[in-house]
Amino acid sequence: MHAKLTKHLLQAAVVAALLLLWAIGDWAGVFNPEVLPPVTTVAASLVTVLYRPEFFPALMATLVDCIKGVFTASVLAIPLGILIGMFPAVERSTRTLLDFGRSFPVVALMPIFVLIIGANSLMKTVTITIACFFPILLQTIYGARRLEPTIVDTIRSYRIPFHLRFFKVLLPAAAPFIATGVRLAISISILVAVGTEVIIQITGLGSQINLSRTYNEVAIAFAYVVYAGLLGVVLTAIWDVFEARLLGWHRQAQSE
Amino acid sequence: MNNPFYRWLFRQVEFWWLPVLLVLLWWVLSEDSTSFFFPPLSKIISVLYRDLASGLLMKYLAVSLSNMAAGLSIATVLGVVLGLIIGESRTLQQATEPTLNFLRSIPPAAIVPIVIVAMGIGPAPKVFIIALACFWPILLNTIDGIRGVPPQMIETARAFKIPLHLMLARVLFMSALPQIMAGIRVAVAVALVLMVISEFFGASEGIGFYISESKQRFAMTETWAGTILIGLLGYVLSTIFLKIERWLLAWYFQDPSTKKMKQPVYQT
Repeated sequence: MHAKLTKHLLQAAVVAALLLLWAIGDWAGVFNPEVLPPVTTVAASLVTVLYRPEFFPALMATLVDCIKGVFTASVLAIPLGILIGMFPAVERSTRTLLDFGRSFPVVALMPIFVLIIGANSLMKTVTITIACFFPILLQTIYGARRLEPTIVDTIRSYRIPFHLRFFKVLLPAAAPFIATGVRLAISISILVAVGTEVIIQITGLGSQINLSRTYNEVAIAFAYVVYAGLLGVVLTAIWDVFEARLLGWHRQAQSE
Repeated sequence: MNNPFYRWLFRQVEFWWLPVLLVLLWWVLSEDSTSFFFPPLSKIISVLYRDLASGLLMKYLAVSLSNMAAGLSIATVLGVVLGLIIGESRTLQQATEPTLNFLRSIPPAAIVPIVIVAMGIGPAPKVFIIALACFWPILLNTIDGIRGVPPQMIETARAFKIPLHLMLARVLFMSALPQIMAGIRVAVAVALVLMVISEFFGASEGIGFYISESKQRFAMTETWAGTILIGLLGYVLSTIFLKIERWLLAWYFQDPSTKKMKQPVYQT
């Protein structure tokens, strides 16, 4: 208990030290307030921005599109990933294509999507979906391929039918890896959402950052940046709780 | 079939038939396309070739790549050095954990407007943004790598009273190197994304600029050409990096006991 308290005190001390450094820098005039506004102003803006009528709709727009994108990507990528992982020949045939897809910066597709779909929330969701698709797919394939040889042999000797093999063996076996993929996808979704909103003015935290900066409200823009970061922290934390529920059996098995 | 050459050939066919087929399909199906949005692939390729041969895209490639290289180098130096310091002490690692977790959660794209509006559309703000974004995966993987060094190794080094600089450079750094390289591999992809976003936001040269400027002119063929070039660039960069990693870490990958590489700490 004592050790835990010390740990938390130290963690708080690090935060305090960084804020103090920021304040000293402001006082000494080291930072360009155009890039890094004074800590006190940013702190005040963190509160005042909450009372702005555009704050909540912007937050919700980013949040909803991220969830839609991660969800659609999961629905598409998880079954496909297990199917690919099931058959080594399919895995080898798709490998080059997947390597290409994985290394493709999806944000580069934005201009094409804007011309084809238009600058709207659908276009943002499509971009997020594609960006989240690859990490989930690759993790699922990886998970489905890592089946222990004894299990593979058991399935074969008992002639377990396809649907049971899919739902009762491969899906649970790959679940921990899929969970990792989804966690990656959550942080990717926020990056892509904010990136899209910043470039093409679509409602969301990103466009608010851009607008506040244009109106020369740098501290407000910073407040939005902080909330974009918090959104990532909160979503990942929620996912961790969900994952612990879903994969409780896995954690227990591992710790034994 | 047992001839190694045939086996190699078979492998290559297995790896490449699907992408080749898809490109051919795209080529054939789009050949007579009159749609504004989907110009024939043959036209896209010829535009791509035209702008590469004229030197325009070559110049832009050089600009974009040098921004990425500068940002990545800064991030690597800072990330590895700070990661060694933080990772080396359990207390420091625990104390900084929540702060680092929050800071790395901030999507780097969010600071693009702030930095570029304040610092202009030249290369400096882009290098700054790329360096900042690449810093986190490298730092976190370095810390993770150092924390993962087997305690027996550290104790042996201590018992032999290995001096601190050797301890850092030869023991901790070398054993964390696979994880550090994994962090840099993630950072290469991150650098590409931030290069694109920052050039879309405000630039006067670079591949991202080429794409967004073509889009402004509703030049669909050029937009496609630039996008395809970025895709190829991403693939080539990640392939080259994997080769470097394999070569640099040959000792690591050859050792059967270290076959199971830990997953890198991702951050995009």
